[in-house]
Amino acid sequence: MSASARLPRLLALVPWLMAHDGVTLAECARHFDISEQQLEHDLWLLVVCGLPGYGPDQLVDIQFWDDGRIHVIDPQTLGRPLRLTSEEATTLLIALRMLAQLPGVEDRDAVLSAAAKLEDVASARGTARYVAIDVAVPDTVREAVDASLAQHRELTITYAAATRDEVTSRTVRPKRLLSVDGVNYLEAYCLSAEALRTFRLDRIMASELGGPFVQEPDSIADVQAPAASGDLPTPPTRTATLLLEPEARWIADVHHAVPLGEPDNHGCLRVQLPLHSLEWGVRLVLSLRGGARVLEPAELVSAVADAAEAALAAYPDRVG
Amino acid sequence: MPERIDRTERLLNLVICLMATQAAVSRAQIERQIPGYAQAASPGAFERMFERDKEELRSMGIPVETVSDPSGEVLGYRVPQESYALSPIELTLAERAAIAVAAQVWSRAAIANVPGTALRKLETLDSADDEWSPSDVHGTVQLTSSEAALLPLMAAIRQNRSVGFDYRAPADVQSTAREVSPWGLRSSQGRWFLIGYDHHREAQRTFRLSRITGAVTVTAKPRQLQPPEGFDVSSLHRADDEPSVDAVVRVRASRAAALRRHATVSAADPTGEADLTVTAGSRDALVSLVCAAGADATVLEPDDVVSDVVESLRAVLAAHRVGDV
Repeated sequence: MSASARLPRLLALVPWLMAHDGVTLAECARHFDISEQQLEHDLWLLVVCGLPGYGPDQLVDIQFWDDGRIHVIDPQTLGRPLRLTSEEATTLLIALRMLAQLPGVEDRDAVLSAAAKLEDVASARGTARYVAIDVAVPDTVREAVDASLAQHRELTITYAAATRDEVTSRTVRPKRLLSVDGVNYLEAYCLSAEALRTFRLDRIMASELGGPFVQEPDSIADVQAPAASGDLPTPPTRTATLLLEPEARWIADVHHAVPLGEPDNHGCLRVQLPLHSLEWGVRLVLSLRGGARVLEPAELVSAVADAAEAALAAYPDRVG
Repeated sequence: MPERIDRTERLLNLVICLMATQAAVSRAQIERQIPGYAQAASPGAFERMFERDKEELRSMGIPVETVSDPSGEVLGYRVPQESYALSPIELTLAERAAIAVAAQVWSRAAIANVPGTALRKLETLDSADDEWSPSDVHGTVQLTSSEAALLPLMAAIRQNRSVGFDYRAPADVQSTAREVSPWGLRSSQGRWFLIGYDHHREAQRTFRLSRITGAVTVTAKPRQLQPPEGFDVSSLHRADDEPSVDAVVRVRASRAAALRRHATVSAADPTGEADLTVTAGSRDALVSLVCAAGADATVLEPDDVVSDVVESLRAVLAAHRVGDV
C-alpha cells in the first residue's frame, strides 16, 4: 500500500481511537473499511513511531493486544485530527449540494446548514462558484415527490417516456428514490401498469399530489433489487451497424457505439450501435438528418425509410 | 545491513517531529535523527528524498512551513499544531446525519476514500456521543464517477494553477494536447464537464471529463487567465453563447415527448394534440429535434426551418430507400 493512502489513515486513526476508547479491533477495522490484519499492521507501525530519541516515553503508545480492545495511552503529537483537505471538503460539499436538490431527503435545512458550516471550517467558501451539480429536477416536481414520499400520498404524473417518445399521464405510489451519478429515478408502483416502474425525474413534466395510500411493507428482496423495468438503463441485446459521416461521429461516443475499424478517406466511420429498440433507432437516425446510414439490420433500414416518408407526407406542397 | 525503514514510517516520524517543535527542525537534524534518512546513499540522495517527502506531506494537506532567517536563509521546517488540526465545528445531530449521508453518496466511486477520510476526521471532534448515523433518505443516492481527472482538476482550480491534458474531441480520431486555465466543474446528468480557458484555441471552452485521455498534469505555473468577473459555473447553460431559435410545431396527442420538453409555450393539456412553440439553442438543434419525432411532429413556421426539415428528411429517405425520391 502506498504511503499516500496509508499515512492519512494513520493520522486519522489516533484521534478517532481516543474518541472511541476501548473500541474493539473488529469495530475499528470495519469503520475504517480495512481488514483486522491491516489494522494490526497499522497499530504496530504507530507504536514504533514517535519523537527523535525514540525512547519508551517518546513513542506513540497504544495498547491493543490484551483483550482485543484498543486504548491510546500516549498519542504524542497526533491527538487531533488533521484539517480537511480541499478535496475532502469539496467532495462532501458536492454531495451535500446534490442532496439538497433531491426529493426524498428528510431534513433539507440540516443539509444546507451542514454545508455552510463545512465551508467555513474548511475555508472552502465559494466552492459553489466553481463546482456545480445540476440534477435537473424542477422545484415543483421535487416538492411534489417529497410530499408524496413523506406522506404516502399518490402522485399523478405527466411522463415523457424515453424509449417511445410518448407522453402519458399516470397515477403512481412512490416507493423510493434512486440517484446514480446525477441521474435520478423514482421507483413507484404504477396503478395503470399494475406493476413497479422506474421513472426518470427529469422526464416528469408535471405532477400533482393525490390522496393517501397504505404503504405495503417491503420485503428484503424488494429493497435490494431495483426494478429492471421502466426507464432504468438496461443494456440492449441487439445492435445495428451504421455508417457515420464525420459530422455525425459524435454519436458513437454518446451512445457507446463501437467503431469497426478506422475512418475511411472521407472520414466516414462504421460503428456497431447498441439498439435500445427499433423505434429508438429510427428516431436517432432521423435526428442525424442523413449523417448516418443504417447498413443493418434490414428491418431498421426499412423502418427508417418508412418513417421519413411518413413525416414528409405532412409537407405535401414541398414534395414532388 | 541496516533494517530497511518503510516510507510510511519515515513520513510519520517526520510529521511527529515537525509538529513537536516551536522553532524549526533543520535539515541536518532531520537527516541525522529520523530513521530512514541516515541510510541515504549520499547527501544528494538525502536532498531528493526529503524534497519528495515534504511535497508528499503538503499534498496530503499537512502544513509544512519553511522557517527562514531575516536574510532569507532557510533555518528549517515545522508543522504548527494550530494550522495542522481541524478547527472545532459545532454540528447538530441532524447536520452530522446529513454529512454522513454525503460521505455515503461517494461510497461506490473511485475516490470513496476521500470523503470517507473526511468523515472520520469530523467524527473525532465530538466524543460525547459518537454515532454519526446517516439521516433518513427515501432511497439511495450515489456518485460512482470513476473520473480520475476530478480530483486533480479540483485541486488545480483551488490552487489557481493551469493544467495540461490530452483530449479527444468527439469528431477527432486522435487526442491533442491541451493547456487550460481551469475555472469550474459542472456535473449534468451524470457527466462531468470542465469549463476553462483553452490557451491553444484562445477561447473559453467546455471539456467533457470522460474525453480526457491519460493523466491531468497540474503545472507549477499559476493559472494564466482568471475567470471573468462574477464567474459562476452553476449559472452557465450549455447554449449560453448561442442565439436561441423558435419554431411552431404541431405534435400528435400523447406523442413527441422530447419536443414537448423543449416547448416554451406549452398547451393547456400536456398530452393532447397541440401547436407548441419550441425553443432550441440553434436551428440545427431544432431541426434535429423535429426530424427525430418523425410523423408525430410537423413544423408550421418559420419557413426556413420547414425547408431544413424537409431537406433533412429527404436526405434520410435517399440514404435508406434506393431509387426513391
